[in-house]
Amino acid sequence: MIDKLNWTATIVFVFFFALVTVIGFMASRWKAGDLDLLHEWGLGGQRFGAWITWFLLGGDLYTAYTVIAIPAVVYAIGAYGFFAVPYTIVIYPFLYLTMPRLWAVSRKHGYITAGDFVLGRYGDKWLELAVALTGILATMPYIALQLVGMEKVIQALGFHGEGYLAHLPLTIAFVILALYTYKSGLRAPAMIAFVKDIMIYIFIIAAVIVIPMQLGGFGVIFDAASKVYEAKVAANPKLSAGLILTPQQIGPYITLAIGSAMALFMYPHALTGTLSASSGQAIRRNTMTLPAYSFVLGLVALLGIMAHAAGVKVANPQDAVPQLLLKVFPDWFAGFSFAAIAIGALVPAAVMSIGAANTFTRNVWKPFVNPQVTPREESVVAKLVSLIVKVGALIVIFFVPTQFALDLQLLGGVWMIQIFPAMILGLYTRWYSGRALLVGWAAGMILGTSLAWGATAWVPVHALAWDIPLIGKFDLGLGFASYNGLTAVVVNFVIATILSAVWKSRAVDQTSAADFEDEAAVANA
Amino acid sequence: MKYLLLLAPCVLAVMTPLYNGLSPDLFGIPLFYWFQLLLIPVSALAIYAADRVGKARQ
Repeated sequence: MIDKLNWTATIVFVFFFALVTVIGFMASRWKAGDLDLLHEWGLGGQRFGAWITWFLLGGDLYTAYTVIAIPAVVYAIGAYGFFAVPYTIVIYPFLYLTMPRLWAVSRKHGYITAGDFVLGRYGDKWLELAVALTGILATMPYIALQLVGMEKVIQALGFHGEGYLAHLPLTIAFVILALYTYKSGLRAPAMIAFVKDIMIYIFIIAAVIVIPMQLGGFGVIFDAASKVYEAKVAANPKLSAGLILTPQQIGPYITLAIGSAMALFMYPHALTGTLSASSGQAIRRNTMTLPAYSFVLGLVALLGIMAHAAGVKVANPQDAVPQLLLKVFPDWFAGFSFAAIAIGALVPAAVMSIGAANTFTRNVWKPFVNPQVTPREESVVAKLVSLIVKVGALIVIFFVPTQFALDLQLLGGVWMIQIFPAMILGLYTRWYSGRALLVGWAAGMILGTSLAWGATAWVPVHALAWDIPLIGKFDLGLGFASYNGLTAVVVNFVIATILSAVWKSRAVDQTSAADFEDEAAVANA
Repeated sequence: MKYLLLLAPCVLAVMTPLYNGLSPDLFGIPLFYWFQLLLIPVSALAIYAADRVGKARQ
């Protein structure tokens, strides 16, 4: 089990991991509040200024997704994996416009989840339930991706086992995550995000300077990678791979970028990070500085290409980055980098499970199970649900076959994007009725899930042509494949629009137009 | 103007055929990669500019 263990790397890994965990537990005393209250455990008391928000949001947006999943796709098929770069470019201008509005209305009415806002705006508790359950469901594959990331670096240290011990790395990852979130809520990840980001920046900067120097420059690296992709395509002519996109990859590339961007800030954890900001202006400032993380993401994606030049050959593309680091760095620095990656998966996984737990407590337990819930009971339920969500993530790993770990996140996105119409349209207009949005949501969920259901694994994109039983072949004639999430949300939007024109809503709207303007927006008007 | 500044980087980012090529390269990095990497700081500056334009109008 541990006879092939890389001791130097493991000792450094354990040292940094332990250090960071201690900080996490100390965090429960930081800016102290009563952790038995949901608002304190789950939103850090809404006292986070621009700096902490930057680390917190950066921490949950750039994760094992960035360091393991995206480079894995680049390693396997090249340019296609780079869609994450336009995705993270598109997102910030959009956030700049929308999130301060959501922050302002949430502050005014005490909303802490997407479900709270939807209920206040549309007065429809079934829509609230749909929004809440979507968030909890979509979080599970995203946490699963983080667990895969942690598992991969623990394996790279040399932990291997037979039989039931084969899952030892994954089990270790899971237990650490569960223990640590349970104790100190959102404060732990916020505090650790700071340390973790510094560690990740150190390892990335070292990687993008040292590796190209060792390998003889970017020209050599791209040439070497190009030959590997050519050989892959020669061996399997059906495969699309290369340094640039093939024509049939362009449609998926663009739709994955747009769809991922639309889904991201619908996740409970992303909203948690945004709403815990201390002002609308803190959010705006963050949209100008968070692209620093996008740049890092782009550089990390290039590690997938560098791995080819370094001669890394792995059967599972998710192993490409850990093996590259072992190959080019001394063992102690590889251990440090692995600790950075593992903590980089731990922090967002903790924030995600807290976000989902807040949502369950506020929008499912309270309205549908026990309306007389006490603040203490609320906090107990939230902590339990945060554990259940993590177990759900484990189930996803075992029972949802995917080609790439990335596909887990894209599957979550297919569901998450379905609340986009209710949330974002709701920030600007009340023309849509809650019931119409609910029907649109249901159609989007069913369509998106069925498109993703492939013959052997869940797939992220689908051609815009279908063989529908009884009706026959239906082809939009656009000639390209599209991200299932985006295809489904378009249908969702069209249905919600048509039905809203027919069903006028008479439900109460708690909000007024002025509630959406924060102080800076009012001052600028 | 504010909305134009916010929209421009997004449009460039998803006009994939525009940058889907190998040359010209920059320090050995093909067009496809350096173009998108460079667009990131450009988009941050555009948001900053949009924010200033919005404030200047009060």
